[in-house]
Amino acid sequence: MPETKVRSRPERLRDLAPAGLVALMALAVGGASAYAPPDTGDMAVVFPPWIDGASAYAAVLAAGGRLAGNSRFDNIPIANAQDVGFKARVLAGGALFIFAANGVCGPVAPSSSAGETS
Amino acid sequence: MNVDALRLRASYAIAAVALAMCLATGITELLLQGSAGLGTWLAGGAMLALVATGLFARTTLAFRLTAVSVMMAEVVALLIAARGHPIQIDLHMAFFAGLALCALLYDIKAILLGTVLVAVHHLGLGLAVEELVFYGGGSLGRVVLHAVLLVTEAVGLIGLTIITQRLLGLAERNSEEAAREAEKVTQLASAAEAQRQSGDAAQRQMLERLDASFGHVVKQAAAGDFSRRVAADFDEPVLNGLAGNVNALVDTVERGLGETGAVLGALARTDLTQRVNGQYGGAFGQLKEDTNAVAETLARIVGQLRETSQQLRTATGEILSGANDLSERTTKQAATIEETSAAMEQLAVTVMDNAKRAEEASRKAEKVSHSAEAGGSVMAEANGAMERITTSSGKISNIIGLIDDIAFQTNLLALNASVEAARAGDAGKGFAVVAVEVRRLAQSAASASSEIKALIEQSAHEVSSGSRLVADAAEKLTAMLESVRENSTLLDSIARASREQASAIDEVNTAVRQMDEMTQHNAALVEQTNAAIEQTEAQASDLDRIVEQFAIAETPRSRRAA
Repeated sequence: MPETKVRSRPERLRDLAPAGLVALMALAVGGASAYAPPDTGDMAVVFPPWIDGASAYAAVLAAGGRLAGNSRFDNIPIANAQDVGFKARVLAGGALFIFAANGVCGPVAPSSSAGETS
Repeated sequence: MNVDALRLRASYAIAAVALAMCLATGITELLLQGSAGLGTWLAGGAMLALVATGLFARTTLAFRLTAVSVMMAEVVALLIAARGHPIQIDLHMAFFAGLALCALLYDIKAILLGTVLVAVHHLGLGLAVEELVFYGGGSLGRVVLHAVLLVTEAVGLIGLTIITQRLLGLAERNSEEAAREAEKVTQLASAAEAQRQSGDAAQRQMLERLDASFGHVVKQAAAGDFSRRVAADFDEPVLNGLAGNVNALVDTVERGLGETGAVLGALARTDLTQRVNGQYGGAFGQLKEDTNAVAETLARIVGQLRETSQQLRTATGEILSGANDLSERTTKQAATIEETSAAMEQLAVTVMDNAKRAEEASRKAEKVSHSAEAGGSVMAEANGAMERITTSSGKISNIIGLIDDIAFQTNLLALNASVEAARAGDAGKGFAVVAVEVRRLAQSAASASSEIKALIEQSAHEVSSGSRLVADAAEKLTAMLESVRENSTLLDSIARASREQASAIDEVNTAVRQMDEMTQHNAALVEQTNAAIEQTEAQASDLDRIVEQFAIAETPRSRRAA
């Protein structure tokens, strides 16, 4: 018969620890892979939350990139980089991270109200 | 095998699958991305973690959970390796295949962990790369649908594990009952063994005594000593009877082997006259018959061998004599063929000379033919000359006739002159003398011309005869020329025939030389045959001496042979 012994909480944690570490490692690497930005092309530039959209767009343009779209968040514009030095310049210009333009950091279509406004 | 062993095997199997996926990840990333990257590193790191856990705790729950987690991490690594490629979407099904493999561990915790990891992956990946999980756009309804599918699979696997664990419990109870039954059987067998050992002690004493009495005699007999006997002093009559039978057996064996040994010893000393004469039954009787049969057969074979050897020696002597005669005749034949060869060579030379002479005669006949043709031409020219002479003679004859007419007219004129002179008298006397002289000259001329005419006629007649003779000579020369030509043709034929004859003689000469070589080869073979026959005769004599060493009973045939 399979073991029926009731294990204590520390024992259960000890049993689960290696599997959990491996799962965390897989999630981290998977996330890094999913969000690794390309050298050039579209990418999501993450600025601090207190930076508004206009300042973020200005920083992208100042770093030599072009605006490719909006994300769900104002402080994360979708930039299009034409050269490999853009990432270094935009990070120097105040950006925190640069991700691939996927998932939560992916571009969203402009809302109809925005279209009507413009 | 218990559940732990099954789980360990399943853990190894999952580890093997993870290793295969690790290799597949590296190959896929190399092929699709051009170099090893995050996917390969994740796959390798996860495998190292599994190996490390297996080294320290491979029979524990931790190893099983780690195997499940590593397998899911390998799926994530494979997805990373296939990023940007359409196959990445298909590879998501590997999560469900991995979850199904978790059922092999017979551990609900492992299945739950696998389910949680798949769910986390779906949620995480759905947030990160939505199109990979929810093709066409995600929604709450699709998330619920995926969750229902995942939970259904997990519930099925857990149910399967519970049923399997119950079946294993039933099998374990049956095994324990069977072990108890086996224990009872073992106890019964031990009791029977103890009872058997007590009976064996009394039997062993009896056997030791029997061995001391019978065994000694049997051992000595086995060692070849048949002089020992069993003392018949047992308490049991049956054993005394057995002792008597054993003694009788030893007696029979001693006598039988003794007589057989004597006969075999005589055979070894080439004495084939000895036989086994005792009365025996059964196997000893068969041994006696076989031993005597061997001796009889050997004696018969040696007798036949002796007779055959003598006949062989006689025949060999006759063959040797015949071979000597054959050798002499072959030698004479070789000499005769050699002389014939020399004569044929001389004949070939003579025929060749004849051919050359015939060719020479033919050439000379050709020259004679040419000379005869030249003679014919000369004859034709002579005949023409004769005809021209005849023509000239006719012309001369006509001239002579004219001279004769002139002489006749001159004579008449001289006669008339004489008559006129006579009429003139003295004045005409001188004229008369001249006339007489002229008349006499005319008569002389007429007479000479007549003679010339006769001579010319005779010459014409002779020329005619000469022409006829020349014509005859020309015909003869023509006939002679034909004969010379025929003669030349015949000589050519003779020369050609002589050459053919010489060629044929050459062929005959070649054949004679070949005959000479074959005869010499035959002579050599006859010499070798002679040597072989002499050797055979010597071996036949040796065989006679060998066979004579055997002593056999005299038979009418052997006496005749002697």
